Amino acid sequence: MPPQPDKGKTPATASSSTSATQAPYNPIARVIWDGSIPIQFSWDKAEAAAVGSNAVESFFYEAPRCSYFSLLTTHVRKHFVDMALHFIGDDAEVWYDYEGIPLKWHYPIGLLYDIHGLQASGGNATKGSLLPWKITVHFQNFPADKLIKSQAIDSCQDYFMSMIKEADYLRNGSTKKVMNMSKSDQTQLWDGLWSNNYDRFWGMNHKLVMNDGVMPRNLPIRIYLPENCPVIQEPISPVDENNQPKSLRRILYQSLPDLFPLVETGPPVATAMIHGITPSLETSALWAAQNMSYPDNFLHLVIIIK
Amino acid sequence: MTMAHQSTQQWEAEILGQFAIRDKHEKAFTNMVESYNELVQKLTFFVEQNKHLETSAQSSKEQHDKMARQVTVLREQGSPINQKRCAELEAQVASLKDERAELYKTQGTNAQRLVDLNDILRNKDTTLTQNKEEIRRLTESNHILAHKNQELLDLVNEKNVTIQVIQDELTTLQLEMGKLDERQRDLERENAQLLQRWLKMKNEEADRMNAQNMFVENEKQEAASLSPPVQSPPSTRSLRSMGPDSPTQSNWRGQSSIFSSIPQISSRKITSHDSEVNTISMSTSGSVFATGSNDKKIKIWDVKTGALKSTLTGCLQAVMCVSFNATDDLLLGASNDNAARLWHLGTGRPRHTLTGHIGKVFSARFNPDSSKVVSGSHDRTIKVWDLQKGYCIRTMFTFASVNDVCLLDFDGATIASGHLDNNLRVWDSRSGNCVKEVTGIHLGQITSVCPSSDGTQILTNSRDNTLRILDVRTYETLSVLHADGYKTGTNWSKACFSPDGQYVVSGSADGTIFYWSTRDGLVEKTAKDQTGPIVGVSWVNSTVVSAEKDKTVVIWGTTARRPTVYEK
Repeated sequence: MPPQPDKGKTPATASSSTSATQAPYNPIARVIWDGSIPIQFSWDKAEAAAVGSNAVESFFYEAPRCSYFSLLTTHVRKHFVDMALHFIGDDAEVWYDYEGIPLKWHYPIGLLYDIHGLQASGGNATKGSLLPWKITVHFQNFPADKLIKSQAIDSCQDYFMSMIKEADYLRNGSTKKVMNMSKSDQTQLWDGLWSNNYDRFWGMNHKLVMNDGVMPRNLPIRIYLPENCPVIQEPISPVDENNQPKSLRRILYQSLPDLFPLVETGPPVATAMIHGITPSLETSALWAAQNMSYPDNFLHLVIIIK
Repeated sequence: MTMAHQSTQQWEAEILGQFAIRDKHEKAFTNMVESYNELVQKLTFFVEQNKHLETSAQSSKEQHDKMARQVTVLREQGSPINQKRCAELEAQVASLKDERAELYKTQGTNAQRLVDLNDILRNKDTTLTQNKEEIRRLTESNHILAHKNQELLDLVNEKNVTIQVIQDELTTLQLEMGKLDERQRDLERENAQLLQRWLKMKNEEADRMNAQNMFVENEKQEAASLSPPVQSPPSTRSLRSMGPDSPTQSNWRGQSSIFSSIPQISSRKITSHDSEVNTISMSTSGSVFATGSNDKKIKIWDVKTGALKSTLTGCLQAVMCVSFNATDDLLLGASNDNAARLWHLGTGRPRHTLTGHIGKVFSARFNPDSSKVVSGSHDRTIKVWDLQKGYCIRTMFTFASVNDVCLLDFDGATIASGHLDNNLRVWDSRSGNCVKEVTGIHLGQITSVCPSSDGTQILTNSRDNTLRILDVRTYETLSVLHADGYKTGTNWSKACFSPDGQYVVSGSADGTIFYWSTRDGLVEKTAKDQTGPIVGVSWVNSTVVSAEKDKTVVIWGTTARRPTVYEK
């Protein structure tokens, strides 16, 4: 069952999509866009008991890796409201956790799975033992100390657009490229993501990530370490002092020299995971940033310690 | 770059391979999830259906219960008592229904009546509004009428007061007149006695003279018998010089004292004007006469033939008086347009327009040498105009509207005027002073004044239907002329003396011409050939012309002339 956008908005997005430029063929981007994770949503038992519904069945849903939990909330809540009589939930109060850890709604779902599922299990879950991913749904007691409050769809869109602007700033030193886009072009990005329309999204996103063929100043890359370490985001030039393109290893070495030595002396201590895979570290960082970014234009690298 | 491209492809291939592995794991559940969702949908549908079925089952059960209860009730009612009661109740219901139907009918009727009454009420309201409007209007007009009535009452009161005052004055004047009449009669008696005594004395004197003459005759005869005859003394001359009419009294009008026979035979009748005729006057020589009319024209007619000789135009309003000069070459017309005009008869062209009056000019006369004109007007003035200079040389304020003026002496120094206020006034035109105001002679306004041919008497005509002959020197009334059936027709009706002064002629309102003798003041003759009011008569030689208001002019003569004799 694909995500169903709000019925009222569909005609508007459909009409504007006809004028959008066709996305250039890119198998990597396509396969990343099509990636999905099966998720089993279970109602928090304590909350279900409080409203008198003891045995509420779990809700299974296959979520696109590039999507956000905020975009699923409507479907999830509807399911539980249908199942449990006399219960009315509120979209704004819904939050999710995995094994007791609240999930940040402003991260893409695929990134969350990579961090909380695969990173935590040391990369051993690649065989799919964690699937379907078991998420607990809460309708009360929003953990305002751990999550950003008001995760409504509008806030999610604002956050998404600010990530794109940040990435643009890193690449060009200004957000002029994004700010000069027309309102409908900006909306097209978000609508494409929301309605899971690849052509619509990439038709616009292509201009941003390729940067019109100009070598970017810095690459928008974030590095996530396990054990709740702060996220690493440093200015990373795409080329070295000899004007040669940097590889992923070189970049990781720059930030984490202990984990990623330039020359492997033994078996690798850590690997970097993107979209649930571990590409070769010799891959060009620039190419990776252009082809393997999330829709928010960032290359999110999840470090897995062996 | 080729190497880079190759490596890119290499990376791509490797990455795609990894993605394939990843998807193999991660999309393993896709079918299951889809099936699950379908099941969930079905479940939802069934739950919904179940809910619906439960609801319908519930309602069915309720219906069943209801039916069962009804069955119980029906069973109970099945008993005979209940059946009977039921029948009664049904009968009652039927009667109630009838009653209700009746009531509905009544209600229907009432509703209809209500509608009718509403209509009537509306009509009444409309009528009421109209009536109110009518009442308002009538009240208003009533107020106005009451106000007018009040005003009229005031006016009537005022007039009554005025009438009272006038009547008082009239009474006083009549008393005064009575006394004066008495005094006059005394004087006449005294005069008659004196005359008788004088005649007696004359007779005695004559007897004495005759006796003396006889004595002288006898002496002469005795002497003749003794001596030759001598011339007789002119005694008869002295006798004649003592007669009542002195031959030294010159007639300034230059008319011979021909003994007039009364022209009482209508010789011609002429329809003169298009409009009412106001005045008529014969020329001094008596060959033509002129008429003035409301049609603003003056027409000159031949006396013998009755033919129209000329028409003089120029007046802007009705002509009230026409007058010839002594030599018959000028004609004077007085008009209601406040002016008097002068025409030359030989040419028929206007010579002067005498403007200056601010009221209708009722009368205008030449002086004997035609050097001046005297005019009298309703603006209460008499003006004297110098024809050489062509302007007014004197204005006399008369205090009353002037109906007629005339000259009393040869040089035109003394003027008589007859007025609207019943009085006759005599003026000295040299000083402009009023010489005499003769009051109490008439009870109506004086319509004409006319001097006798010898200038010693003056004739007045008045709206009190009497004429008077006054002595110019003493202003005493010589005789009062009146007759049964004589009525003065207009405010400007002119009467006149006969050329020898023995008769007075005037026309009445019924068209009759009256001739009075001046000696005894009695009616000598009447003649009638007209029906309208006579506005004027004029007598020259043995012809009288009379004009009636109703356009006709009649020429009267002493011998009959048939209309067939007219030469056309």
